Amino acid sequence: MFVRATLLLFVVLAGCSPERAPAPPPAAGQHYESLFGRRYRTKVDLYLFGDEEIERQYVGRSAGRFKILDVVPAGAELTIVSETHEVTAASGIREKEGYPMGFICRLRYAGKQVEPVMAEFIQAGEHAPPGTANQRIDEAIATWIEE
Amino acid sequence: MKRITALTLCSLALGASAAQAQTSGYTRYSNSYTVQNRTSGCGGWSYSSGIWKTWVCAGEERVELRWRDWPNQSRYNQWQGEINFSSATQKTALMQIKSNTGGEPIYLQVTSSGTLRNDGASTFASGMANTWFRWNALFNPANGDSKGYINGSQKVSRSYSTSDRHWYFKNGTYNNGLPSGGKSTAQFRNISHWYK
Repeated sequence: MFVRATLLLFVVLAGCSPERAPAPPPAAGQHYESLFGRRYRTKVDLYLFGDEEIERQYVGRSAGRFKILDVVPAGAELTIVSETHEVTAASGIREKEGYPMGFICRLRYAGKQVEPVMAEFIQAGEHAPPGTANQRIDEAIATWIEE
Repeated sequence: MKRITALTLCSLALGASAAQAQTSGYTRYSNSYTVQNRTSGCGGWSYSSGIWKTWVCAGEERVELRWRDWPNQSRYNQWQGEINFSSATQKTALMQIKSNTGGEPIYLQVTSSGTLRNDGASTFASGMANTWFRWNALFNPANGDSKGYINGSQKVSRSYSTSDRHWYFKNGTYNNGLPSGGKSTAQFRNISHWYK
């Protein structure tokens, strides 16, 4: 009995993980407007990268052909401020159809603020029919800060 | 990869009297642009006899005329011009109303050959390749009202709420996923910019 109770307690405690639930998806037909203003806390170290030829800066786990501008330690705050059609082929977002868009974000870390920052390399999303809001911030990289 | 070609020219004082319906009540202003050429040997651009031509190939990013930020950010701003794109053009954006921090209320795309749509919405025109058509696109950041017209016929109506005030126009060829061997080509003429 004691062993069973202990196991049950363990299971219950394991179910009370401090990890937040994934952010709910936006309503159909609204693009990603419902995500604007939503804040996330990064869980892993990321690179901030870009180069002189482009107008954009990105965050991601690897910089690819781009120049690394800074290291963003875990715990940074990422806020979605808008959306853009302009995503790179390397992100793989277009192949997943849906609304193939990237998130324009504000990034706060180590006393700095960078905006705009493109989140396309830390987005996740399953393949979906055109017109479906299938993109989200990868929960393995950043956790939604519920208001 | 080629570096971005920076070239600033004044917008030419061109216009067609038949194109006045959408610009009625607006004031025309002179604008300038830089050419953003992010291609790697196949894509490019030209300007001759009042016609801008841009082209981009599979594997390349874009060639676009990036017009300077609107001088009046809290009013209606409108882009008017004539566009002609090739039948080989596909999965390519031709014109945008854009802010780097606010997104694109207008994002005119060729999806499959000859078809047009705005952002992820349904196709609103087909059989448009290899013919000149007039495109009017407008947006007012203060109230979010955005519209698009082909030859005077309204095709796009959007409400795009935003507090952003860094808006500008772009036109050219932006690769949205050309298949291997693909090439998109677009021409532009009689471009003019307006506000009210």
